[in-house]
Formats: sequence, C-alpha cells, structure tokens
Amino acid sequence: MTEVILTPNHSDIVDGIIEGAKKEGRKILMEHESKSILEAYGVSCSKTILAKDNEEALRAAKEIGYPLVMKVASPDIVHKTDAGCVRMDISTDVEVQQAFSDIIKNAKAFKADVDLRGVVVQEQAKKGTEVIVGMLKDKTFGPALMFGLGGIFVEVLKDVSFRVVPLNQYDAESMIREIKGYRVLKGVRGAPPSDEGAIVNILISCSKLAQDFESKMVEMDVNPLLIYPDGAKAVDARIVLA
Amino acid sequence: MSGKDYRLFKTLDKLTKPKGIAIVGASEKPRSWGYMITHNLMEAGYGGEIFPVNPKLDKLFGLDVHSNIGKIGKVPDLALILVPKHRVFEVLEDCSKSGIEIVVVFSSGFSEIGEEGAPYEVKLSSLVQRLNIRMVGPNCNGFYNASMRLNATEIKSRFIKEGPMALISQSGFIGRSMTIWGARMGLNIGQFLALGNECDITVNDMIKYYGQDPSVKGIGVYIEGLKDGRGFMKAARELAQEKVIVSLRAGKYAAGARAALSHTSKIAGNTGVYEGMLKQVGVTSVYTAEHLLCTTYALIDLPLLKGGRLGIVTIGGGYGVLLSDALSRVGLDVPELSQHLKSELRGIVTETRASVRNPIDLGATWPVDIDLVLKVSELILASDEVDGLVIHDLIDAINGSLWAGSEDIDIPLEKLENICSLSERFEKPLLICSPIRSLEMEGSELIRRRVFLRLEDIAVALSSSLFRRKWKTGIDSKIIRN
Repeated sequence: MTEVILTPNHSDIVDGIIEGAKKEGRKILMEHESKSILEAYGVSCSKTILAKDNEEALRAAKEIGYPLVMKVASPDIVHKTDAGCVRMDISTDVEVQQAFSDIIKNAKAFKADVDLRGVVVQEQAKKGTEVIVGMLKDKTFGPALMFGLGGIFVEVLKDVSFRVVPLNQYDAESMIREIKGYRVLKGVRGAPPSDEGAIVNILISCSKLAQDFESKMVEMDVNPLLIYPDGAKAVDARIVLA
Repeated sequence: MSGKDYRLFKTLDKLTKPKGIAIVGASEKPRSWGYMITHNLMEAGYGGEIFPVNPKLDKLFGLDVHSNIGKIGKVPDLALILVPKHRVFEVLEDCSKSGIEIVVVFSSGFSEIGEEGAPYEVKLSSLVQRLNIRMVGPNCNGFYNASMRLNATEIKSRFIKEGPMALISQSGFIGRSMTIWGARMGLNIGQFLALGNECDITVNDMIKYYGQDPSVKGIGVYIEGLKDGRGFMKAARELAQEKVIVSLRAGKYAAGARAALSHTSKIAGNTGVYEGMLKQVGVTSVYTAEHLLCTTYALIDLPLLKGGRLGIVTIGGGYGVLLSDALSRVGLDVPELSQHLKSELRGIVTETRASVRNPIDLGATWPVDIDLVLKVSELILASDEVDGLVIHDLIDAINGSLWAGSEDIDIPLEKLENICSLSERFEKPLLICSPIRSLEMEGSELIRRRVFLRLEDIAVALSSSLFRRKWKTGIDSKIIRN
C-alpha cells in the first residue's frame, strides 16, 4: 500500500509560505519555497538551501556536499537558465564563490532593479528517469493531476495522463501505466527499472496537497522529477497561487 | 438515498410511467411536432389516457381535444409542451394550477440559440423554481419507454423495443438513428431521453434515476458538456460497480479557460482531464454511436475479460489477421497457442489448409462444419491460454442464402445458440464478428446481441470489458508486449 509520510505540521508550513508570498504581493512561489511545500507533503526534493551571501553559500555547500547546482532566487526571473543564472557541476569552494558572484551579476544585468532574494545552493541530483507531475484547475472538475515522461514525451508527443483530485492508489497506478511511453519506466536500453511505487506516492502526496489547498493554489509543476530504481527526487518545482 | 433524490425519483416516475399525459400544442398538421408526438403516443399503444390540448381543435385522432389544461377535468401525471416559446410560460402556470408535477418542454428558441434566447431561459428557470414544478428541456426532442409502450418521439414505434439499456442524450438527433440501428441489430434501447437544454433536469439526475431502475442494466450517455462535473463523478462512481455506464464522447468538451502560466496548463488539452475522470469513475468511453450500443450490450451480457489474451477463430481467409490487428490496436493480445493446445486442435481440425496458431483458420471448407466450430471454441476456451474468443465470418459462412447453390442451408440457430452460450459456460466473453450479417437477422436476443458487424466494434467492446474488470477490482496490470 501507499506510504505517504507527511511532516507533522505540514498544513502550517505550507500556509506560512503561501501567506508570506501573498504579503509580498507574489503569486508565483520561488523554487525553494515550492520545494519546502512539497517536502512538507512527503515529496523528496533535491536538497536546497537559500544563501544570501558568499558565507552562507559556502556553509550550504558544506552541508549539502559536492557536486552542486546554484541558481538565482528571484521572483522576477522565471527562466533562470536563459538569464544566465544557473551554474552546474560546482565541486569546489572557489567555484561556489565564483558562481555566486556570476549569478548575481547576470541577474542584475537581466533586470536593473531585480528583486534578488539570494542564490539557491542545491544538490546536483544523480541521473534518473525524468518525469513530470503537474497540477491544474479544471473549470468543470477542479484540481486535477497530470503525469508524463519528461522531455519530448510531454513537450512534443503530449503523452500524458490526467486524473481528477482526489486520487486513490488505483487512479495513481493506472495513470502511470496508461501513458504510451510506460515501458521507459520499466527500463529500456539497459537502464534499470524505475521505482513506480515512488511515483504513486508522489501522486498521492500532490493530490492531498492540491485538495488541502484547493482555494489557494491554482497550478503546480514538478519538473523534472527524477525517478531512480529506489526512490525519487524533485529537482525543480513551481507553484502558482490563486 | 437522500430525501431530495427520493422525491426526484418519484417525480421522474411520472415521466417514464405516467398515468395520463397531456399534450399541449397537439396539432393536425402532419410533420409538425404537435402531430408526430400525438400520433406516436397513440400508435405505440400507451395504456393510459392521452389529453391533447389545443383551443383550435375539437378532435384529433379520435380523441377529444381540450382548449386548456384546466378544462381536462382530470390531472394527468405528465404534460408535454409543444407551443411556441412565448406561450410556454402561461402553459406552465396552467400545469402548476392543475397540480401537474413534471413537464417536458419541446419548445425551442431558448439558450440553445445563443444570446437572443438566453433571457427566456433565465425566466423559465425562475418560473419552474417558483412553481415547484420539474421540467425536462426546454428544447427536448423527446423520450420513450418501451416497456410502457410510451413513445414521445417522432420515431416510428416499431423501432422502439424493450431492452435493459437506457440512453441519455444531450442531443436529440443522436437518439433517432441510434434507436433505429439498435432495434435492427437487436441492441434495443429500452428507455431514451433527450435532455434538451438541461435547464432543470440534468444528465446527473437521469443517471441516478435510471441507475436505480432494476430493469436498466446499462446506461449510455451522449455528452457535450457538463454543468456539474463533480456531481457527475459522484453519480457515476456510486453506480458503476453495479451498472454499466458508457459515455459517447462528443469532443467539443470545453475544459474552460486556464491561465497558461505553467507547463501543465499548456499541455492539458480539452479532453485530457475529462477522459481521465471517466476512467476514475468507472465509465467506459467510446467514440461512435455504434460502439456505444455494442459496448454497452457486451458489458451487460457477457462475463468480463479477466486478462487481455484473445483467441480468434475464422472460417477462412485474411480476416483473422485484420481482427488480430484490430485487437492489438486497443492493447489486447492474440498469443500464439502452446504446442500442446495446437496439437489437440490439429487432432480435430484436419483440413490441410487450416492453421491453428491463433488465429485458428479453419481452412475455408464449404459448407462450414458448425459442429467443428463449436468443438474448436470449446477446446480453446477450456484452456487457460486465452481469456476470451472472437469468431469471425461465422454467420456469413453459414447463411446459405448468400452463396450460390446453397439456398437450402439455413443458419442453424440452435447450434449458434450453443456456441454463443460458451461464454456463460466458461465465464469468458465470446463475440462473433460478421461484417455482412443482416441487421434484422433471425435468432434469439442471445445470438443477435453477440454478433457485431465490424472489427472495431468487437475490439472496443473487448477492451472496454478489460477496463471494466480492472476498475471493478481496483487492480491495474498492463500487459507488456515485447
């Protein structure tokens, strides 16, 4: 059966983050905020720490361990890679400092008075099978979840499945199995099979999150979500408030 | 059952089993609705009293015509309203004064014509609420109940036959050809209702209502849009374990506006969420009217597929391959049979041209040895290598009237029944594919409901069967084919 482990005060944690953003007049949560929400609902995310300066960045690097990814934390910058605000494969303290200043520099170049919250220091997740889990509000049915394999499967082939919230175990299992590219999860070209149970758990978690915060959340993307033979890790996430 | 539902069902009983029907707007002009409905109500053999209402007429089809609902002197259970739009309101008031609890408004020119008609519908909606009267429509095309010989449509009554299936439609026109085609095939629609604009009574109400009717084993719905999606989900989910529900998708379903802020929103099309929803609540989804009838009946009549492996028996020719392809397209398997089973089959299928790999091709001998078909089918179904069986060409091949010099060969109906009954014996579905079967072929209901015309009718019915099994047991296991 499904084992979804929620943090004891999960509702409060989420409320706190949402109210915080609302106070600032923001509708789109930043990556680290969205990930904190997901973690509260039992979805493992790549370890992420917000650093406001070089010292904090170095402390974060020590805590998380190399290799790292660093990205700008700014409500103004949605497409971070395009803005030159992402650095990957960081494996030394010197690189951390260099990345920090590069990202800040590029952020300011992107927008003159950019709202800079700092730089997010993040575990660089190992390679896994990429999937996408999304949430949307359907006009007739309310919150619904979407599932698909990452990359061209979703972008080009539109090979996705949907279920209306709340989902049960059968719904989650069948929505995974109905996609045309399902065999990729079973393991192709020598790749090991992916942990379907982990995906089921994440779908149930997201369903619960969407249900509990139906009036406050309008959209969510967990993309990419990496699936391993044992477990899963959300590498990026975005939540849009009502 | 809630009190509200109880009252709804009691009132809807007056729609489907009324003691007395008033037709306001009955007419003597042929091809007018007022003429066709009155004529059909009479001709179908409805056992209750019919009260035509029209101040301009004295008599119609031998019946007394009343100038006003109030002048009838009795209170019919049901009133059909066929007057021009602007007169509907006063007629409703009359009905209410008379104590009529439910009406069917055929009149059009309301929200279905757009902005011009919308205000009239708003007015209509508040009126029925104020009068506490239930209304089907407006813009309803008709309804029928075969077991009551109640035909309030323009369809000739000889096509309205009893059967364990009800059809609810958001389009009146869809019901017409489906009724006739179904009746010819033996896939009878026993009860039908065109919802019209759903100003009051909705598709959800009718699903619940037909769902609690023990004579209804399967409900078909033709839907273009849902006003109350979650209500639909609740109604369907509660019924779907016991009753077969099949939805004919219209494809115009509008999921509504969404801010395209996220990836997910951009990808989610109109139909994705709706299709996923149907799977969650146990409703089978089909895309043609013929599939709706074939699939509903296959799910009502036959044991559900326990797995996706099908055996195919053909009398001869390439149809076995085509059928195999059709089944593969819907995700079903046509596995090669084991050496053991193949040699058992070879023992009885002695024709050299024959093949027993699966499909089993009997070698196109003429006349067809129907006893052999029975033996082969028994052998295959008895094994644990297939979960169901499709026989192709059977009816055509044994219909001597089609082939030169064979006019003396009749379809052996009893042997055909024996073959069809193998489903019940082995608890595995058996269907016959017969592209040239006469629509009005002879044979019992049992036979006619298991002989479909097209490969896709069979394929869709069987894949729906497997879906239903999985949904009912709450277990999903997809077959991975290499």
